[in-house]
Amino acid sequence: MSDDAASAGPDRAPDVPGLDAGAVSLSLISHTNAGKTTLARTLLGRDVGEVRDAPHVTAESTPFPLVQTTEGDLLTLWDTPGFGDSVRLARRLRQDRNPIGWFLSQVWDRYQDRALWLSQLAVRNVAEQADVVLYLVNAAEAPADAGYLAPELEVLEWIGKPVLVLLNQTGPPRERAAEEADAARWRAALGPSTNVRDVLAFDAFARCWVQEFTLFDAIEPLVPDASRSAFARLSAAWRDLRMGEFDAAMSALAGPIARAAADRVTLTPPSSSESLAKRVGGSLGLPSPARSQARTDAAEQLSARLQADLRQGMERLIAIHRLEGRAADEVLERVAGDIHVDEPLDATRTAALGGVVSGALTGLGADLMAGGLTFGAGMVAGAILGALGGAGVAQGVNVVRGRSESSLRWEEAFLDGLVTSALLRYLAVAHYGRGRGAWREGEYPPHWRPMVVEAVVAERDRLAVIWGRRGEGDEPLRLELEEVLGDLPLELLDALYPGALDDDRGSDTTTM
Amino acid sequence: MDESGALETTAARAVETADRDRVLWSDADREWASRAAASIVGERASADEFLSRRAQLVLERIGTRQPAVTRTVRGIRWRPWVGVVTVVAAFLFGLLIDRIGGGSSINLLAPPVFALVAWNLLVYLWLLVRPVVLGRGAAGPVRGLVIRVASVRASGDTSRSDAPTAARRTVLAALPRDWARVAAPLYGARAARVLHLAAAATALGVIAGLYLRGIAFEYRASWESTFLGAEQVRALLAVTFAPGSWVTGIPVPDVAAIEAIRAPESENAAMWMHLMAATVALVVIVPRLVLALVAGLVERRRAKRVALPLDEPYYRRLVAAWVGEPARVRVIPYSYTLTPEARAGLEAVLARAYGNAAPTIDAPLAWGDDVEQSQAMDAAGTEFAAAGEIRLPLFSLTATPEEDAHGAFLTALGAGGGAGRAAASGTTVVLVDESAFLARWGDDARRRDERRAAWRELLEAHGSVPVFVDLDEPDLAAAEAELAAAASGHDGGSGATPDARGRT
Repeated sequence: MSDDAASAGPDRAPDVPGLDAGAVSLSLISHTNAGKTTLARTLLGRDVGEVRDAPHVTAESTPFPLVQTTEGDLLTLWDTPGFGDSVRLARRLRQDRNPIGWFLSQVWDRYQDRALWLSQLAVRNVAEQADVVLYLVNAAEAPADAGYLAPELEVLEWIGKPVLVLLNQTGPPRERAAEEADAARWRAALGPSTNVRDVLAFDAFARCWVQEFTLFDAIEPLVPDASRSAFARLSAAWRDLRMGEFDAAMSALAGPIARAAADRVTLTPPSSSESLAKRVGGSLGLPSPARSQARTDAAEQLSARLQADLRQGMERLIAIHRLEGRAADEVLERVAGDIHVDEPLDATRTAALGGVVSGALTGLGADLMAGGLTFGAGMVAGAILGALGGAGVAQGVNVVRGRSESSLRWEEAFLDGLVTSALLRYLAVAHYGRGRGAWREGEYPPHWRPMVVEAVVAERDRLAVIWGRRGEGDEPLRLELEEVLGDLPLELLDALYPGALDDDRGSDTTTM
Repeated sequence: MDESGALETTAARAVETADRDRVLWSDADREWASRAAASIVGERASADEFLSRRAQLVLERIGTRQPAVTRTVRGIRWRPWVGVVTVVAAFLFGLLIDRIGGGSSINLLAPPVFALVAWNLLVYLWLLVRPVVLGRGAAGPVRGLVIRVASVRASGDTSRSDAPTAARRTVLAALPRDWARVAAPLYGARAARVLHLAAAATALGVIAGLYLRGIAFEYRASWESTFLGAEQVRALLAVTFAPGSWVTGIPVPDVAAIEAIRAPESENAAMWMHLMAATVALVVIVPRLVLALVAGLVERRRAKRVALPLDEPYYRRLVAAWVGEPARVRVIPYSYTLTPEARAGLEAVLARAYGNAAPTIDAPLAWGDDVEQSQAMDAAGTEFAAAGEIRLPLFSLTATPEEDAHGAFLTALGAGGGAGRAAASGTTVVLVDESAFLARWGDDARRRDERRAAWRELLEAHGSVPVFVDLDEPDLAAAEAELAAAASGHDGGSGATPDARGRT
């Protein structure tokens, strides 16, 4: 491809009214129905445009302000119509000495030659507006099957703007290796294209916000020199925005757990003492008619409070991530499902449980790695069952015996379980793109579980110290928890997306 | 294949395709039928002979276990008495129309003869324009009614609901529908013959009634009119009775004679009756008999050679197994590179649906390539139709269906374009593989349904029927059934009532 062909397209965006000097424009370009509008929704956190599983849904190029800085810089995201009939289009263009000029000067019939007409709109947008082209591909197809790829990249090459290829429609989050393999496959398929600078996995349904940092880092060297500093500022602003959301999310998660840790319900003393057999039976979940009503009520109070609290936290989490939808009931209802109320600890119990509870989380980790449990919904109770399953005792609450009265409160292992499930829920929400529609609880990707459990197990000592101070009320507890919760997810995200968070807090070195 | 052979073959097909769970008719039974039929007809027989012989064996054996099947087959056969009764009834109907204007006087302007002649002329006109209006071979409403009456069937018992009963019920429901589709042309001709004869019989009945009553009564001819004078009446009668006058040589009386019999005057009606009878014979009875003869000949030819849809997977499988030659199935993937797993799945599906087919799976056609330019099509494009091999375009559900790409490919493949159905082979079946899609969004049924609907829309616009299958883990029984249903051009029998054309 000769370079003078590219001179037809303007190589600098002309002055567009309403955009000041510190303006950078990104154009979402792709074959039709690759998910441009869906991705725009995810990035903007708003339902823009129309989304339907059909070709040629978007019929005009629309600018959306993505982020602004106090200095007045503006980053604009253009959603454009999709390319169609690309092979024939490229074939026609090849016959022309000045293909883009010819193509843009043609008048296509909006109804008869819809595909070409829409392609023209997309080309025009790139030629006139784009600083950097974000070219989406449907990664669900094999690169070899995406026959439109080569001709469309050819057209973009004629225009001469730098192109970033984003892999959309990759499905739910997968192991890093699988994601990498996808990217490598596409990289190989794209071959020696002169203006494609990089290939990134960036799914409109399942991207995580840290991947946006990677995206911004990849865009930075591609913007024209004049806008470089503006883009750096914009990038930092975007980072601040997302980190602010992260902090808010952590506080939303920590609150309910801290309150649960500090929560206790006073019990009236038990009326009858049961035999050991009955007690073990009870702890195994066998129905125990003699079980004291008071304790059952107390446990129900505890779990009702926790449930309402968790739901509220979840609602906040959803709102912080600019999603719509409600926390699902069934998730929280199952939290209380498997909890057993037990006698105040006595000698026999202590003997039976002494070793088990302390080693609970090690067991928990091992058990979950084996993958015997469902996460998500039954996670909380499940973690406890898994932890104590070896001893055949499941216990979510224990009884603290005062001098005159006993009170019921959450077992520490259970609280650890709450942390684990909170982290999993956070990951799920953080990976849920707005373009996917209203929030719905689904199955978590299997590779998250062991990671999260391992991370919580590693932090066990810190958590134990926090639980040890439950008597002091929930406010100091919450602050402590937020600190732990601030570290844990970042570690997890760093493990999931190595390097994405590297230049955290605003330094601008790119890793390319 | 003659009519009864075709009916039996269709019945056997209904038994073997409707009973997917092998409740009534096991795999062993199937093999036995093929083996026995092959040994009876010998090696030099035609595929038709083999199929029809095999069908007899199938029905004999299943009839001993499931008499309802035999009853249904018997019930579907054409009952000649339907034709006889229709014709006799028509004659009696004609005979009994004795309202010939005021008892024993014939009002020349209002006899049934006028209506009879006019009606038949209308029918002849309709026969001329019908192919244009309804398309060839379509049965009109009256013929449809005759066909339906002829294949009245008893409904099975609906009280029990165990597996054999359910299986039997699907067989019994499928058979009349299938047969209606296969035998539509034959039954069209048959109904036409009966109706033409009935029309002739009606006319004959009317004339016979006039003459019979004329022996015992004296009919007087006269006329009256509010608007018409003698000249107009003379002109009208001259035109109406021109054929009769020409045959009998009796001239239509002149204006003065007409004026003379204006009511209350009258004259003996013998001459007028001869004119009427001759006119009716010439305009109604003779042409109708000729038409009935033609329809009868067509019917006989069609009854001897009922065209079974032998390119359906079911028949191909049987014939291929008998001949020992695998059916030729050619899969043309469009812009879709099969993974090894999907390829294995595809081969399993084809083997199940087309017997011991030796499928050729083409190299994928590149997206957006003009089909004419592709070598895959050059090699085969000309010989496809002649070779009679089954072509199965294969798409992937991960792709968005586009008119400019996938649609153009289907059009080039001759899969429809504007015409819709290809008459000979029914519809074009298109495979859509869901495996790659499910690998990404396996738990998102809504998303899959949306995408399926998009594909269905495009394919149906091209007169094709999609069969969605997950080639990584194909449900062989379902895929087989869907392929068979798609190939025979109805959607698995959704319980819609078939009309005479067998469209559901």
